[in-house]
Amino acid sequence: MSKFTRTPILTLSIVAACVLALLGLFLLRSEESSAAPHKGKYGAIEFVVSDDTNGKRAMISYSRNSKDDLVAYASTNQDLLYELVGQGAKVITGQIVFVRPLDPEEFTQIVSDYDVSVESYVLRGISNSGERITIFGAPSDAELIPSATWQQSENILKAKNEQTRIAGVITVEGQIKVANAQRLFRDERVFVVDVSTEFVRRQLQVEFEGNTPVRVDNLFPLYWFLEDYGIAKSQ
Amino acid sequence: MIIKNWMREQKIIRYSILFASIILVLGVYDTAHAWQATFTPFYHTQSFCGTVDAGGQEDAEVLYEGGARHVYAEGAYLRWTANGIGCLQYAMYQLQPAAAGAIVFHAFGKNSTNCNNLRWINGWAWTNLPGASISNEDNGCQLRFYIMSPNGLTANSTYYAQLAFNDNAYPTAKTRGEVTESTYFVQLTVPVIPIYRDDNAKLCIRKNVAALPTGGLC
Repeated sequence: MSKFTRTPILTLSIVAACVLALLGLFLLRSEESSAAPHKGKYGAIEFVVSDDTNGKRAMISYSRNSKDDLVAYASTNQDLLYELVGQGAKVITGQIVFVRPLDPEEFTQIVSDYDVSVESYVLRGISNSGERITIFGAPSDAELIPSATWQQSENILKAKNEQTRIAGVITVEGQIKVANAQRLFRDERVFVVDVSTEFVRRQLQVEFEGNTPVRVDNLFPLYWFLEDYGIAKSQ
Repeated sequence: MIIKNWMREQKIIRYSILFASIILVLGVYDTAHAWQATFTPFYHTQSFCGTVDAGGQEDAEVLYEGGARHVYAEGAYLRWTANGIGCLQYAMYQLQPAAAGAIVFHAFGKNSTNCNNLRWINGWAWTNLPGASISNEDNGCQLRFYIMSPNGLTANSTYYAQLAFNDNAYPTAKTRGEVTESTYFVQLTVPVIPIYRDDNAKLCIRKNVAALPTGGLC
């Protein structure tokens, strides 16, 4: 066989191989972006992204094996806040985690002092046996802590155990100006301003070019672990 | 003497008002929390090692408050055996990727698995589950109470979780539906899809009351 007949076959084979390789790469990439969860890590914070019916959904986690782990988590959040400042963020959604429950007056004052637009909060109830009760609340149009909610919560808790009392607000989530978030880090009542969900959400929006709705969850209740390690005191 | 009598009368009046107030508050409280329907004991549709143990109870009631129609629901007497707790602990601390147990409430249309106009009221959820956190799914048709610290569970102790739904159709209509309670095992990397779902109870939401289903139907 002459080289003149071999060349077109060779050329065709190379082209076919390239097409197949490109097709394989495309399929691999589309599989990676649509099905297989992918992971990310920033300091002490890890997250996994997976598909949701409405777009993408990320789950944040962090190590909770020691007091140092929780301190590292707070420190990473502080770093992420600086990153957000560097990215030009002006207002962020954050979760303020306190080191003790704040009574309604103190809570109202801190919200006012730092101009937090409150979306939701968590209250700690304590029974006489020391059992911890978690109450999830949100403001009404008229009241930061609706008196009906407070009363209803007290009644329901007392129906379970007459000695149960509501100790106060342990975390609050809302919109905060970054400058106020930085100030909050220096407030001795605050353990951390958790900006992990905001940071990851922004990163993923960049990654998916803003075309895909992204929901980021952090289901680990930090205050609970702070109580476990004696960093936060509710009793 | 006159002043002394007057002071005594005032004292009696003050105590009477206080006493009457307490009775009134207790009366209102009693009215507000007399569950209209109680489903017990739980059933199991897909029992798994970390599911809630038998003995659980679902309660519900329909209340009209401040011009709104609310449905309150509760999972009470939730219990886990030592083996069940061991399973939840393994899933959270040993399994890769980790998974969490959850008590999940769904508000469905009547005899349907579709969402209807009953939506969780943000700010109405209570629980004594250890390391509790919540997530709102399906735009408020579903609320999950996650057990994120299963080391805090004690075998055969009783736990509860409570929430309230708002009827978004009210006052135009009074939504009929059902509120179910299930135990989930959710992989924390793919939180949307439960690994296991064990249905445990269902109560019907009628016009003005919550009621037990008949033959499993509302």
